[in-house]
Amino acid sequence: MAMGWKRRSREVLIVDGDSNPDLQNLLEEAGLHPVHLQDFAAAREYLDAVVRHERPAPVAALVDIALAPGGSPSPDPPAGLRLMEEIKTLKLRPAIKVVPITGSGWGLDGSLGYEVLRRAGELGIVGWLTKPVSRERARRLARSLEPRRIASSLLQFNQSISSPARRFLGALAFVFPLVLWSALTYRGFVKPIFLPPPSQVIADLGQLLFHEGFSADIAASIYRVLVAFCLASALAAPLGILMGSFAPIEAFISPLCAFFRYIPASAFIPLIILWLGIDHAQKIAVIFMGVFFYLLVLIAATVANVPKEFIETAYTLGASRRQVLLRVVSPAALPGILENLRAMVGAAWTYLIVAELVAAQVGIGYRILKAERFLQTGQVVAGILVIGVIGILTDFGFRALIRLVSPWKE
Amino acid sequence: MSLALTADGEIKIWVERVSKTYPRPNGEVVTAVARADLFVRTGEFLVILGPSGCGKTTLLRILAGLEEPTTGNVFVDGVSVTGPGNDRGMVFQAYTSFPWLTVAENIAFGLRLRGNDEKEREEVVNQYLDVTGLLDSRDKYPKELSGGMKQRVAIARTLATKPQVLLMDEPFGALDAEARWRMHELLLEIWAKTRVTVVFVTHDIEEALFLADTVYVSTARPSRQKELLRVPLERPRTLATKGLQEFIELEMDIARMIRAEGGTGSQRE
Repeated sequence: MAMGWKRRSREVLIVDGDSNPDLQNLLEEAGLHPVHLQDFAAAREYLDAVVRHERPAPVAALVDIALAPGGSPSPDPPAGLRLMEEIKTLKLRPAIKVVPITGSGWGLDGSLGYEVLRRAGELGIVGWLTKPVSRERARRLARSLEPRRIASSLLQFNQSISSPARRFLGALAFVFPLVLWSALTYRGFVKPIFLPPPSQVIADLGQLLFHEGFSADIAASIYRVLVAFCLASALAAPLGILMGSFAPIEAFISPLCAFFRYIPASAFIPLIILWLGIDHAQKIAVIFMGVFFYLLVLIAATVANVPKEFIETAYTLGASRRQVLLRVVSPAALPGILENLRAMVGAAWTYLIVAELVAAQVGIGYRILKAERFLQTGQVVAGILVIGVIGILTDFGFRALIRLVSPWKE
Repeated sequence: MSLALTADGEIKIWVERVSKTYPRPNGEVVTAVARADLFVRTGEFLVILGPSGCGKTTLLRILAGLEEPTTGNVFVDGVSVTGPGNDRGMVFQAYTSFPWLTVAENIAFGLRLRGNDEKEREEVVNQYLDVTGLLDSRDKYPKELSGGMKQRVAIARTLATKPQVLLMDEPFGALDAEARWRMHELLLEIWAKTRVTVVFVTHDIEEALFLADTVYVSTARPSRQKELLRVPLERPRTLATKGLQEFIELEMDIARMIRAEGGTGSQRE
């Protein structure tokens, strides 16, 4: 990242008829480089040089409002103010910050100091100084001239983030594992048999897709996940809504649900093979077992959080229990339920691979296992990456769906 | 204002010696409402006034049919209340406009439940959008509305189902003073137009006096004798009403009544 990082400028112009060693010392102590200029003409000369890039642009200009006119015939506007106006019209980035100074106080309404301060305020100033300047005041001014520290503006609580920034950061995160992977493999730290380089994996993926019918495996896996997940959702949503709404139903189902939830879905594989064989149905059943009971608990909790005032209001508007369930509880819980589904679809893929590692003839998991047997590590990695890509696309899809069905969400 | 609110009005609601007690886990029994007994006349604006914890919200919820009294009975139009229904609309302190519906859809909610004819529904919705000053916001979602506007949606939605009784549980408690005053005037305007019977719960003496025909003063001790206070202020009431000497004196009377141990009201009818 060598482009465009300029040295952070430290110059501060003090444009003042009197030299001000105290102020200069204080600014130096505060880490700035004060440049004293005698009058309007000297300041203008300096700024011309800045525009021609012959001098570094100062961070700020402290301008005495009682500046000698320096050849200007008319006293209005006062030379100090005119200089501040000219500084403001310079097209520099970052713009030079302006600080008016007075030795005679700012005065009250109607006085010259007051008028100049008002007009300088309209130009945009970052502060003002009254001579003599105290140490504390100089330090605070110096601090206010610093650019905002990046760290403090980058990470804030309750921060919102623009979508381009979100996309950029999301994409940026992929760079790190990719760089690490490339470094480990191309530099030969890791043998290709354990981890082949990215180019090899891409080549293997092409080989899989175009010569070994990998797309049929992908289709089979997606089909299994899709059917199992839709089935689990279609059952868990209504049942979860009932559980979240009615305590007796929750009391009835919860313990049984906990029982099944704690048994790993993979433990059912032998039984399921016995009952359903080794076709699609078996894989679907394993995924279903792995997802359904978790989904049920999540959805019930989401529904239980629907504000009770919504329900009571609906009753006083004449709704029946059924109408409350369909027209209040369900729409109120819908975005939350979709979030629950989004969280669990990843788990569905986990169980798919578990199911496909046992007794399968087609599927991404089957391919991964087969490739491993023949030490085709590139194909193993390619298979894993394909799952990751499908996962990220699913996640985007769910996000879009949630935005689509709940434009009313805060 | 054409509403003649006298004791001759028909009995709309009879709260007949209603008590509500809750058992605590330790076996203790908490009394929220003790032997509340009052009549509300048709078209009357009754305010139940009392500090928090005096059971006024519980009483209102019993009126709405959201809770059952432990003993006693509530009659509306001569029929015992057995559950919530759209003859008794309720507006809560919490914002209850449904966030997934637009303003117009919210107001249409109760009508839709009954399956009213689409055209008729549209008409009623427009009428109440107009009455509550929400015509410009008809297609907005509640997230885009201020607190006062959300409560206007809730009121319009309730009134659209043409309830016999409007129950309001500190509906303006979360609003700032200026918004609350505006809502007071709006509510009185709507009340004058619809002649609906209102039971309004609040802890704010000024609010109670400004709105009510009759104030039912409850104290922190539920067992104590309640005071029923007729508010003699003329209608229509405006902002200026709150500055009247009479208004301020009444306010002080009630404040003393609530504060004094066993205080007896001087304004008792």
